[in-house]
Amino acid sequence: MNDETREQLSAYIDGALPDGERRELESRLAASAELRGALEDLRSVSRAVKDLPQEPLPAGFMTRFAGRRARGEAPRADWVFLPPQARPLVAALSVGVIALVIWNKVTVPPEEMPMHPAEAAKVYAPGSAPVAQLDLTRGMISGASGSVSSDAKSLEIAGAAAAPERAADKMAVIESDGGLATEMKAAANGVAAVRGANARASGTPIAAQQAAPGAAEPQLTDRTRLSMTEEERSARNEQMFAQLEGQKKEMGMRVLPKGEDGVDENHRGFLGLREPPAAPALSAPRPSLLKSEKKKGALASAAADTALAPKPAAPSAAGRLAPDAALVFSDAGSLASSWVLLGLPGEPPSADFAGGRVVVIKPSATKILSVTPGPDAVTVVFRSLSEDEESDPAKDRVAPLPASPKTVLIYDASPR
Amino acid sequence: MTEAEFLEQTAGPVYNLALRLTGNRADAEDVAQDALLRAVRALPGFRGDSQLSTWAYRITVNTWKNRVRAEKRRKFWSTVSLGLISSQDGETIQDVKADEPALDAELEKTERSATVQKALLKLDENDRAIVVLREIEEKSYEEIGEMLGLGQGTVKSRLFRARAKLKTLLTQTAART
Repeated sequence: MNDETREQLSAYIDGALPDGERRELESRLAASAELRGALEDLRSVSRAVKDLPQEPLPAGFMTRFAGRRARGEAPRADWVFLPPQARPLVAALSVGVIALVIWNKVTVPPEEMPMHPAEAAKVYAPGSAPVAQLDLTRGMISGASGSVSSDAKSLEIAGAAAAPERAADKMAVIESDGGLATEMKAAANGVAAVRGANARASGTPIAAQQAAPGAAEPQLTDRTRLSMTEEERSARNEQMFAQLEGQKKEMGMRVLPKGEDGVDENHRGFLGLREPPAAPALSAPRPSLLKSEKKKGALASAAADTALAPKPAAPSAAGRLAPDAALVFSDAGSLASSWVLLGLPGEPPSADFAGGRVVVIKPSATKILSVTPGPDAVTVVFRSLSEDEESDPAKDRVAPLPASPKTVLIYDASPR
Repeated sequence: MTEAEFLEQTAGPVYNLALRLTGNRADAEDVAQDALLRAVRALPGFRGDSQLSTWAYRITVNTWKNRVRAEKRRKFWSTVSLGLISSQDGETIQDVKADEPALDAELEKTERSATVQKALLKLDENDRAIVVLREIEEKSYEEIGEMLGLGQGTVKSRLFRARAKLKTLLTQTAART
């Protein structure tokens, strides 16, 4: 008996043979005991399997199923193939990263929280006319206290909020070795400026940089995606922290001690001017970044206030670290890591860094009113959001700027 | 058909199919629940091209096969055996097994059922699915082929080979006892 015949027998017991084949096989079965024996073997196997008992559903099956549905639980992913022996390690690493994040948040008071993972921040006192300047065209950094060459590999940023009750009137100075400052060719002659709250009142000339229209307005090249899965978020955080740790080691980064004030030799890279020079009048911010007529009006008012209300700088005092600062980034990695650590939602925006752009983030509830490129400087104007305004970090706190050859003037135009 | 009606009608058969495919209750429940989750999500798009039970069985078989593949990938990375069963002819057959006693030890109260279930687990995945779908669920060759993505001729020949192998395994077991 060949396999073809056996296969026919198998199909025969299933009633799957065509009539002609079935009749022919039945003739042969009648004539062959061996064939009948083979048929009986197959039938016995079939019966054995058919006789397996049916099980009732396990107790609680439907309850557990309903629970999974209620939790929106997805069917088990089939693509997970992490080796079992690697799972404890991955779990431990994940716990470690989470613990690190929590530890940082718990042990570092908010006022001392670094503004950027790669830099430490220092803030100057209320009324000290927070002003700082970035010159993206030269290899030096300077401020009222002198200049620092790019060999110092320092970066300064500054920012301030207007309302005193909002812990404003501060300027953050971020210090680092290498990294952004070098990448941005930051700062030679104290040219780029950041002005704080009392700038509106003082109108103190900051630098002989007049923002002028004409340059192409930089655009974000990507919109943020506002939702991430937990896996994506975890993976991104892990990557960012690894990158951050590498940057810290490479830069020899440190956090300025609390209470230290002013610019001294220990604080290389500070560009803030404690007694700022006269500030230029601001050109009218471009309304193109604004979305509504109402906001245009607010912008015009804020800009006018900023431009027309000169006031001498108040004496400086011991400062506090502030959550308010403008952060300037010249590479996607630094931007992404800071975006995560600042807790900003969604994906960080991408800019054409390779094409000579920087991105400014104002991490607090502040709106970027305008970005006005000029032939020699780019002027960025912020203002604080009112209580009834909702902030969209991807739009209101981020400004892409041409990085070269520009001076960046950053003003806080919040009404006092 | 509402979701409740669908679940009432198919949960039991899906679980039993999963039980015969996996060989133990824990894995069967996992497979059945995953399959039902998938089925319920896809239910609004069910066009009625096939019987609802056939459709649900196809999802169950695919869920189980995916699970087996995932376990094999894990096995590739693992230095720990996931439960290798060596047949008497020296062939090594792997199956997905949870950390609970197999049916032959816990669930099956008759030696005969335990023997048959154990023999089923020694079949190749597709062959096992074919046998279970044909013998227990009484699906036609056409339906089985549709569920497994096989031609009817393939189903016919593989079913014959699976039955022949089962016969051999059962005979060997009977000879030992």
